Amino acid sequence: MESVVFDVEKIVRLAEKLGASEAEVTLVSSKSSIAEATRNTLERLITRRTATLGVRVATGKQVGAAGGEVADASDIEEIVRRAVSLAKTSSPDPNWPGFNPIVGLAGSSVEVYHDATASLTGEDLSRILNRQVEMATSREGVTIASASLSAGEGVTIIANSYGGPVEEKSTSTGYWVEVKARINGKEGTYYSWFSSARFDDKTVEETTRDALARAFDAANAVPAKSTRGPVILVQREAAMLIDTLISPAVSAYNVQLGRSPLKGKLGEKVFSHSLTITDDPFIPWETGSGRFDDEGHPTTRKNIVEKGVLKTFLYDHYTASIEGRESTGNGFKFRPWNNPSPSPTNLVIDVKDARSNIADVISDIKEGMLVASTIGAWLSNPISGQINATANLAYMIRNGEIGSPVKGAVLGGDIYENLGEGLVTAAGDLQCYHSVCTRMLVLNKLRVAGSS
Amino acid sequence: MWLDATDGCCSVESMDTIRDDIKRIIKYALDLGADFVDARVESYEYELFVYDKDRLKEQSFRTTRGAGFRVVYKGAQGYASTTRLDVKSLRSAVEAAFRNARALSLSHTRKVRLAPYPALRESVSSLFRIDPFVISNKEKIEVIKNLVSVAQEVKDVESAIARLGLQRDERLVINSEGLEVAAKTVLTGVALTAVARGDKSMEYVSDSKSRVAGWEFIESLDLNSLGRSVGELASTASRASTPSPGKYRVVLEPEVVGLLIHEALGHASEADLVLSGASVLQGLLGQRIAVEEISISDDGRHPDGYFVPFDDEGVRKTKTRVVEKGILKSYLTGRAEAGELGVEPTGNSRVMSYKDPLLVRQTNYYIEPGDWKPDEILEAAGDNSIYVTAKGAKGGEVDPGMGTFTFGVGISWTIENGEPAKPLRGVSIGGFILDVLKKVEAVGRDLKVTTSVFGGCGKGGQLVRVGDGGPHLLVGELIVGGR
Repeated sequence: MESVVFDVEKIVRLAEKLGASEAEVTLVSSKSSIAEATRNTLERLITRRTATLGVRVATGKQVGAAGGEVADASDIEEIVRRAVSLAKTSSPDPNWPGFNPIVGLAGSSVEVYHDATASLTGEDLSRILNRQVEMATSREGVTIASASLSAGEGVTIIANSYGGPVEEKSTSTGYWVEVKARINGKEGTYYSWFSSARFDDKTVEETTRDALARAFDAANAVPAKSTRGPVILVQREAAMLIDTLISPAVSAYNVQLGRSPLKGKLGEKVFSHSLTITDDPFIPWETGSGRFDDEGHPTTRKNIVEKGVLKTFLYDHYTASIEGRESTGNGFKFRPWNNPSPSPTNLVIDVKDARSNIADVISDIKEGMLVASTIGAWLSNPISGQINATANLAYMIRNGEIGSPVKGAVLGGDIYENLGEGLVTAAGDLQCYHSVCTRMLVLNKLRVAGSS
Repeated sequence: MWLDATDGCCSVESMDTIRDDIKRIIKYALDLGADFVDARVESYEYELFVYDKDRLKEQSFRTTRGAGFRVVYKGAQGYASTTRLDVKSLRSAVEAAFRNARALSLSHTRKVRLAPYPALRESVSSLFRIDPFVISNKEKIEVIKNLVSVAQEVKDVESAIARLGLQRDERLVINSEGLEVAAKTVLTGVALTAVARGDKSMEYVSDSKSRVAGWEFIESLDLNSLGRSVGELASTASRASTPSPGKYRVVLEPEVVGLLIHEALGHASEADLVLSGASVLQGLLGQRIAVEEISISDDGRHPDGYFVPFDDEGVRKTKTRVVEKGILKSYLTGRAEAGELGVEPTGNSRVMSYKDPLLVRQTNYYIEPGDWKPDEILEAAGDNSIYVTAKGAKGGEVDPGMGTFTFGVGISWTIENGEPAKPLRGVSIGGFILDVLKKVEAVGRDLKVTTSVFGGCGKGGQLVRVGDGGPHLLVGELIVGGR
């Protein structure tokens, strides 16, 4: 199947002809296949092909937007007419700066299109998924409760009244697997996943093996006791907390409206001096990588926090114009017709003198916990910086050794305190989840409320 | 509440033109060799207005239209869809679905067996008096602008965000057995978030009001009162303390009960999770899972919930009693799960949109009311208990396989002398599904079910509208984490 592509410049002109003083058009066209398995067998194969259009227009300082899935010219015209009509009845925004005037590609190249991933068919995915199921279920007591493997390609094209179009082709793949293990009459489940622009067999297999091992630990997990010792968050859980709590806090929009604990702290030490946080859109194959943002502005690499000191916030065109500066290329939209909001591309968490081996860290801990999996970390509060998550699989650490698996511990605390004086160190390899790349983080200001 | 259109009063007209084409395409797929075909056609419109502090931040319109097919061939299921509704594109989509099913049938695939279901031919629309889509934008903007203004007048409130959402969703399901069902739902709502900076912290509190209804619902709301109460709660929260983490005796207000029961038991009762072994309720049918005072239902036609008169296989969705006096009586099923379990489908097979695969989903899931008055429950809780409320709650998450759940709830209160006393901020609750329902000590008589035009329930990457609720509950022990 071919991706559906329309001429976005023509759509900009159509909006102007219908009365818009300026317009911005985003087209996202994609095709994908998904193979799904449950209970150790393939369940269904799904193919999708969509073209989604987002049109934002302004009439003077009045702004309106419309969008949706489009099939033909009449759909497009309906969306453009609706956007113009909404703009004309909108209330003026006195701060409206117009659409982004700098439309173009970043100077650096980035690998986001992988030929082999694009060429994967539904039959290929079914075969690969089946192989994972067979590998996992060859071990006694294992059931693949559910698993899904997807791959696809797409193109994003953006133009506005001042420039473009800019175009980026990308691929994507995702795999998740939920394994149930039975051992000695006890049962446990564990869920593992990854997403990337590049498919590779090895990562799929590692993900399955990780879920397998953890599922047996989950079967043996007992209710956790409260502890106040250091807590080690594995990469995926650390990434989830940072994505939930730090990404919104460094958005200039939240800062300007007083919804960030980092307001007024530019140039100040906000984290441990060992911590540097970089926004990097050029990491190969990462889901946040790309050469332009959702306004068509070139992306840039920048340090947000350098040795604990807050260096910059992230800006889209609107928030940048409020402060009389240029966008940092961080204007991203939830959907193509939504207004952009500043958010990171990929965040890289770098802790100075991080240990390569987590065992070296554990050996120094008299009492603590290693958290392997949580639910509800996204419920943490970015406005106050307060952490909330429930560990559904963790390991007690006693006298320098990993102990028995536990479950049900509620984690609480303040992210600024934990990444400040509470940041002990980082360890292990750098892994990326949710567009956040981090090592395991060792924190000693987390409260752990046990369930036993 | 609902108008039944079988008498011709409210046919879902915009779906009429495509019916014959879909039926021809389904016959074509059967000629290709398909054993069973169903088609889901959807026309969806959504308007969103967002007023943030001092400006109209967003005014947008979204439309989705398309058709999706499921083909069953030798027990294997293939899905494909199209945004183009011409005959050529529909044929191409059903061919792709057939190819997917045939390819899968060659692998080690479990054979789906759909439970029998009659070939219904019905068309139903939710009731609304004033079509919200014809109200002028000026009037809509005024509503949220005033909400923001009222909330921002409250001490400590730095800013407020108000949203107005309007949804029209029309769905048509046709299958190769002659079933032909259409439903139209109009949903309207407002939401307000206030951010306050007090002496203790910066906090936010949210509240939203949605109903399956037209603009008359917005007109019925006391918006000034809503704006003031959200602002005042945010101010209170920003000056409140966090609780010490630990186990507490708690009183849960109805909105929290809704969140808890949807997450903690609802997902675990979904038969696809049960059958795959990813639910702690597997094998517990007929067994006690809660105290006798607890009964739980899933009802697609509850007047205060979301309107799901049929699921997306066209199965009529009426009230399913999941738990009766503490005994697990039924799982939620679609035709595939019901076929495997040898029961009748409960009408819970749903999709986010026409292009998504069917999953077992809840509709409006709630605990049935008991006998206690809410003030009696607060009094019975005793001192050192916590009254957990939902305003500002972000939702929850559950691991149905492990039985753990967690919620970020709203501003809560200590209980002293049978009344809410000191405010608490940053409260989260967590626990094990099967423990909590056995520790319920009192069930209120004040059932409240709510839905939302701004969110829903996520599963397998699909978000669907749901409702949930219950009465006040007294729970003897729950883990409370201070965020």
